[in-house]
Amino acid sequence: MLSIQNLVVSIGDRRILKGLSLEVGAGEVHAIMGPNGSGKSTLAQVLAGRPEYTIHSGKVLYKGRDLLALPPEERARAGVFLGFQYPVEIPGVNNVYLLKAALNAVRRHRGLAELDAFEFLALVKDKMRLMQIDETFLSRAVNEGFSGGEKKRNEILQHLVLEPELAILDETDSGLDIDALKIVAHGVNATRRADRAILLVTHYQRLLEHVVPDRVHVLTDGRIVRSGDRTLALELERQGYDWLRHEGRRA
Amino acid sequence: MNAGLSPFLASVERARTQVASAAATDPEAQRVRRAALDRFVAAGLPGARDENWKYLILRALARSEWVLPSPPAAGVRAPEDLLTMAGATRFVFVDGRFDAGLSSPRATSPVTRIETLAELYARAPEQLASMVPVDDRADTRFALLNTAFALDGASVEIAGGESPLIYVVFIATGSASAQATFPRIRIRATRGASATIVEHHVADGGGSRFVNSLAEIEVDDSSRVDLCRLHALAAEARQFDTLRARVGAHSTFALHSLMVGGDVVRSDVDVALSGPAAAGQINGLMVTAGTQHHELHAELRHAVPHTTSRTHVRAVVNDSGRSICNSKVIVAAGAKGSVSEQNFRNLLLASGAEADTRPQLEINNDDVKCSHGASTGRLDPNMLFYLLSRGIDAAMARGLLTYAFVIDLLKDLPVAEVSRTVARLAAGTLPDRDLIKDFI
Repeated sequence: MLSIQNLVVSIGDRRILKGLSLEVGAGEVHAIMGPNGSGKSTLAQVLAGRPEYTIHSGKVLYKGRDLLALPPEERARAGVFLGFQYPVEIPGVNNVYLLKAALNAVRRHRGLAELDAFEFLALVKDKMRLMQIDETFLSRAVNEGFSGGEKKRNEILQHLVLEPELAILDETDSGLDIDALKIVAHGVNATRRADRAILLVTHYQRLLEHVVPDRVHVLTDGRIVRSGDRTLALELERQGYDWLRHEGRRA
Repeated sequence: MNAGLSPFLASVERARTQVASAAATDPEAQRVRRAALDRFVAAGLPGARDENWKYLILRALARSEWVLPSPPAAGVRAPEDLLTMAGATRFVFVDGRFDAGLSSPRATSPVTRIETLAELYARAPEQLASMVPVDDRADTRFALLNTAFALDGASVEIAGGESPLIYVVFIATGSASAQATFPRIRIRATRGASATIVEHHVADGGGSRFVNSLAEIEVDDSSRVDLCRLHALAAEARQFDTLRARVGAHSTFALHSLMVGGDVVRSDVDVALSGPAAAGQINGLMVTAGTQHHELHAELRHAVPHTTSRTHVRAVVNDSGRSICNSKVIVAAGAKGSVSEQNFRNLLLASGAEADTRPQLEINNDDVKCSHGASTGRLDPNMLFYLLSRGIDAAMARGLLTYAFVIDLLKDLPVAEVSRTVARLAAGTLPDRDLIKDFI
């Protein structure tokens, strides 16, 4: 599904990813963990196509295609979804309109007919129940005045509606209380399927108690320094990241 | 002597002769008009040294010619883009003349009087003298010119607890090129009155037009006036506009100045907060594209203690458009406890677009709370990326965000139909408008 080979990325003068490689297969959930500033969010943003970053070398293949050659909107239509760490407030643009336009863009790409307003609303309301989002959401502007938890739930709502093949969830668990975390985890688990993959970018392992990953990778100083199964996350929880920092330098 | 005059001033002199030879005009009206015209001629057109006029190409103004409108053909049809507002009294002027056919019947009430200026002056000749702007500030000249040539206009008086919705339309028609019209509106609200007035400037058909408009407002004695001014003239029209308002005790005047059309639109706004607890609000929107040029010059004067003002202006500038906002808040020496807020945001959509914002504060005592902020920029890259990351087409994302910028101001309008119309007109000048039509 996703193959990252030796990716080197900088922003401004600062080199952030320094030769990152990662393979994610269909049906798998991978967690990327690491200390602040290790490059986790950069990886997520680069995969979604954020233009501010400079790619120096390396390759990213998504379903065999060169992902980096596509503009962000085409990546989204091809099934790549980024759940933002800091979802953006867009006053004046309605949530539902955005969601409908986004879904129809994806459906057109997949050769499916656009949903009419009735079908669309039924779908969204169904997913809103799952995410415990109340109906006032329908008339509000994108993330405007949302609490931190509401923004994260909205990201997962979009995830549920758009049904991406590759979802990259950037610190979707940060800033959530335990109830909201469970709702979000429930939403993420509802999207797991054999033909889809999820990349969870997280600082803490608590999300991983609810969304159990197939693989866990530790990102330090722009490289993946350790990979393992979910027990690696538990070990990190016990020992902290310092234990692995020297490996990043040595590698 | 005329040989030395600029084409604009030659047009003034021709119009003077034409008006003077018109018989059956009230001699007092003649005198008032002549006095105004003499003052205009003495002031002359603004020159390069006038700081407040430095953005316009004044030579083009001086070179432009215009003619007084001939009486419009009978049975003028209403332009398609008139607003439909339930419960509104519609009051229509075609080329400066009242058109009963296009107007709705005027509801009479003991406290609300809607009439033409001709009717007002016939009923109360002493009001004629108040036609002339009293002071000689630099930007009085176009108010004087209006006074000299306005054929008629709208007068609204509300004196009591009614809340009428009044729709005043000024249509510029006529096939003559460079036809001039002089729309005029007068509003008086007192004794707890509350009125919402929509003033719509629109051209029927294309062709160059010169529109010189004037609005005079007095709000007093715990009253409130909301005035939505929709400047939606055709692409070749130039509008030079003046608004003067006096706000008395415990009263509020809210101006919504909405510039979405015209080639050149300049509006000079002067609001005096002259009674305790008087409040003034200016919401300005300017949407320009092509080579359109919009200017809003606002002066808000806090003359007495405990007055408040709020100015919010948003400009969207595309192509080689230009948008100018000069806003000055003056707090007089005795006006303690005054509160004033000014906020300006410009959105530039093209490299040739230009926005000039000049917020000014003149504070003459210590006990005040005044703030101002201004920003000029392009579309927010974070918002843009968020939309792209959801599969939204790049052009559509830009259109949506531009539209959202406009909507942000329109949500404060008191009449939903005006918001909708302005949103539609503004969207019509935005790039990629076809892509965002589902959102409007």
